[in-house]
Amino acid sequence: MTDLAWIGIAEAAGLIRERRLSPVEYVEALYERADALDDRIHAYIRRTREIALHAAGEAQSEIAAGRYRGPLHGIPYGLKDIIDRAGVPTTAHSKILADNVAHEDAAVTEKLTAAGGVLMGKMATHEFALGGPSFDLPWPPPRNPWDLARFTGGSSSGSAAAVAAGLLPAALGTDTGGSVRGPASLCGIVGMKPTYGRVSRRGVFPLAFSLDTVGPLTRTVEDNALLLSAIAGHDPDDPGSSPAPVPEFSTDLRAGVRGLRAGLLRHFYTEDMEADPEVAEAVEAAVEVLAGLGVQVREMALEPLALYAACSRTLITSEAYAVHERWLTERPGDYGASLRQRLLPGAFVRAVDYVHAGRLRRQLVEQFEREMAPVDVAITVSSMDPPPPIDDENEIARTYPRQARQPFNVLGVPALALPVGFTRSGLPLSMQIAGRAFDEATVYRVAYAYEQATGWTARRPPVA
Amino acid sequence: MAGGYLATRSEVEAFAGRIGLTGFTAEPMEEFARAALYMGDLIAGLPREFSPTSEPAHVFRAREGTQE
Repeated sequence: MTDLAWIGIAEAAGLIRERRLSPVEYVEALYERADALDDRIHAYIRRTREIALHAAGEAQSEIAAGRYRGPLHGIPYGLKDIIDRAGVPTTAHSKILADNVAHEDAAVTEKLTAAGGVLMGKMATHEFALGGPSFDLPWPPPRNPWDLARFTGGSSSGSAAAVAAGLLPAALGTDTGGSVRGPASLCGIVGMKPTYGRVSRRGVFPLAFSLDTVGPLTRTVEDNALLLSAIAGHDPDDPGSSPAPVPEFSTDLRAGVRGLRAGLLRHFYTEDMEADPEVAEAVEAAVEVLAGLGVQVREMALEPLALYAACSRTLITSEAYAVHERWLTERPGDYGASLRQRLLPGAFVRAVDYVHAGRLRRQLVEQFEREMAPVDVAITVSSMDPPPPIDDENEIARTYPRQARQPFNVLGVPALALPVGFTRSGLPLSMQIAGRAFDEATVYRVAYAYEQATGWTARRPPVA
Repeated sequence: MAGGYLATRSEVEAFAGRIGLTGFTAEPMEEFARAALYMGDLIAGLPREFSPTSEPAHVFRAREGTQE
């Protein structure tokens, strides 16, 4: 008997297509698991049981009638609760939007519905995808399935926790400064921040317009590629959306990596910041594995992490303040303390500082394009530290900024977080593989080769 | 020092009032001062020696199929 908690999109799709797995049974099994576990994990804000069972029933009928739509048909998924589904509240995990019912589907929701996906519910997030973890909001913060006393990372916390715990095979998150890759890293799963403009943001509550992306969280690289293929594409109603053609990202996964060239951004975790030794060792070991598979690895250098952080935070803080200005002046007490403290600095940014950050961004992009010319992908750490205790404010504050994810938001390029092992105490470790703009396919190809060689993504957390 | 270009707490308070940040009930000045201090640290990390004609990145270039 297949354990439905741990099958992924690719495996489930095969079973569903061959009518060996009923989408309705799949949905019911995953809800049963959530009923048993989510009181301790807190991944869901809201389960959309009625919607899910209706969609699963339709999928089952269509497939029985020979109308199979493709690999997402009948597959359950979750949405970070800043992404709209018509008729369902989008709360942003905040008292501010607690009663906000979406009138229309987000573009990604439309695409997943058209592909036959089954929405299981809305997932917990840091408040408005920025503050957290917070204990003063209408819903508690999610817990890390590898150790329920640990932080999941954020802000797509519920999406990552649900996938890691086997409550869902896939979920969508958003990534403005690392919010897909951070929780993917700390929860031991795969998370992709696609190229800026690759996936429409229509119907997604903004954090920072010039940096926001929507990305998939899954347990395997192949599942991630399948999900990104389903949600990518031009949308004339998103002013940042790109008309660049969208390949099927899973096509070249098995093409091998011999002869591909990788640049190792070692200075990010040895000079700019000093990563925890177990993190650094795991990334170095992963690079050795890739070299053994035939990847030509050379060291490469970009500007220091601190410069990227200054650029990213100035842009995010300014743009987020513009989004929240009215509520901050009219309803400041309805925000959690953590988010309010992260938003308020935006009131004090001068226009010239925002322009300087944009100038710096352009220079950083130009440098990246030069340094990437001789390589196909760049490799570095994701989080500098294993997941900290969720109730240790000092440790959360210390580790939160210790990451190498912001550069790829500033640069607008794709970056994937991928498990590379575990600490001696059993906590997940992760690396990033980044690529040139719109070259997610090569990133997936390298990640898939590594995954197949190591098998880290097959390990399960101790949650029951 | 409050931080950044707002040198004192009274400057921070005056500025916060001018932009409508008046509805706070619990220790608002503490929050504003922390925010201004954080922003001061942040913009201190930004380079300022750009050429006068240096143009910032434009997010909408993605619409034309190019990146930044």
